[in-house]
Amino acid sequence: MIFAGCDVGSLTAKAVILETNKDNIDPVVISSELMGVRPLPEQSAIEIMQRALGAINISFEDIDVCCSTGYGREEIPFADFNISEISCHGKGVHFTDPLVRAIIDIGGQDLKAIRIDEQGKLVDFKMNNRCAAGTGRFLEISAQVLGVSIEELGPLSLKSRKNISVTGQCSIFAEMEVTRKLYSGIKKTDLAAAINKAMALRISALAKKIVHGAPTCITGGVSKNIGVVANLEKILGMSFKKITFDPQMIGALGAALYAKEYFNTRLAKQEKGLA
Amino acid sequence: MVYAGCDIGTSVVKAVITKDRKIAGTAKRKIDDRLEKVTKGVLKEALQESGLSLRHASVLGITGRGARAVKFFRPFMPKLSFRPEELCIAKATHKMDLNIHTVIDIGALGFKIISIDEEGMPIDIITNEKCASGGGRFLENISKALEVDLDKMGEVALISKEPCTITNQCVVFAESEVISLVNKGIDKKHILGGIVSSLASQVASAAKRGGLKKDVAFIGGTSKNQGIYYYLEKNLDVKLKKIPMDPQFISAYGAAILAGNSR
Repeated sequence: MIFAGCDVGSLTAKAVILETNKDNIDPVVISSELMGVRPLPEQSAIEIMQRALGAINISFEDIDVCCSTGYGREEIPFADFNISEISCHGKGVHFTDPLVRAIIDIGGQDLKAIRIDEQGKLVDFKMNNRCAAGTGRFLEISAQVLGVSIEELGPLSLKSRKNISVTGQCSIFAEMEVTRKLYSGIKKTDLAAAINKAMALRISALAKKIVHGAPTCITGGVSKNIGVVANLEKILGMSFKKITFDPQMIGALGAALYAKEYFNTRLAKQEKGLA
Repeated sequence: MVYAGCDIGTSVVKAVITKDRKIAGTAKRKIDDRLEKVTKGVLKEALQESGLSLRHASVLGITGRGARAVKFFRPFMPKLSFRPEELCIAKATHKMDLNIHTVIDIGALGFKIISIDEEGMPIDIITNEKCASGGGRFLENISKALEVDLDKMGEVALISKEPCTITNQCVVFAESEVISLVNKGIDKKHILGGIVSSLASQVASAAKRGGLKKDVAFIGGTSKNQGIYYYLEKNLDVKLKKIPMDPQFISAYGAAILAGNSR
């Protein structure tokens, strides 16, 4: 059986394809793809799915069930149903590491702290989606000012020798502050470190309300920034669990797992109907 | 006597020269180089317009968000006097119109709502502190995203009879919201109408919190936007007064007035 999960976020679109054996157990990831979004969520979804399917030479017709998630999840024509990205993250993380109980997910436009139980079900969550502080956009804007790519911010900050800080929480204020400091001769490395620290500080304020020392992992695009993660671990006084799957694809993985469950329940209903 | 006033903002430096208590010259320049060079250049330009040079001016009044940087410049004026912006604004508006008791100033990074007493002293001030929403930067970003000239935005916004509702207050998120509206094929004028009315309602709700005392003046770079003007009047239900000078120069003028008082 083939199941697909499609996660269309604000900045990137992700697709994961799972295959199960004939008893519909032991799902294995057979394809996963990621790309920057197109103007419309629908376009992004079709393109990313085509890429993921193309990589393993199968077509849309081969998918048994598809579940969509993310910011644009309601506008995806080929999805059988959709589930919120919060539940999908819980599902996906639980699949890769069943011991995790809390997730900090930092996407392009939102910041979430999620608490799950031993089955991977959602217990509690907090999110910030009104302000760009503490989201990927904050890093994107800051990277632009420094004239580096967003991927470079982490490695660059490791070379910092001087402790400075960016105090503005608002992305626009921080943009001005970083520009001013850059003009006044402060090194890019030190500014990158300051940006990562400011990010971590903002994230920790939200995370503290949910994590409470539980085994935690960090997902979403920002989790790839080593500087933010190190600062966040320091502030929260804990080390995060490493997950074995690409942390940016966890939402799509969770969606694919929901697709598999959906199939199982439908099958069970059908069997009941027959009996 | 000749006095100079200089307002160092976040994106533009403005200077006003007063001679015998009257405005003799003004100049402004975008900060596109070292602040010291820009500031001195603007001052010289304003003095030139007045037919004067640096040695004529006795005191330089300085205000604005970037004021502190002047302390690190090489000395160029016999006396500097640093003044808070709200005081400069209050003094300048009071001098031009005694009936003004509230000033709404929308600059690049935010707004200020200043209440003024009978003597022209600021008695209360409301600002945005932590967030850039409610500032002109919002319009600047949208103007780039929609490719509509900043000066034309207000005009275009007012054409719309059914402006969109913009749900995000955050400047960064509103920009993505606008882009997704464009992708959905919504006409620019409706989007701009939504943007302008959203900014105006944010400022208006802050202004109402402080209790609005008439007459109300609207200043700052954003006051040149007719759309904001219209929606602000509508939201506040008052007639906004225009000040008989370029609204961008008011702080600098106040700094020059205060420089004259400081001797």
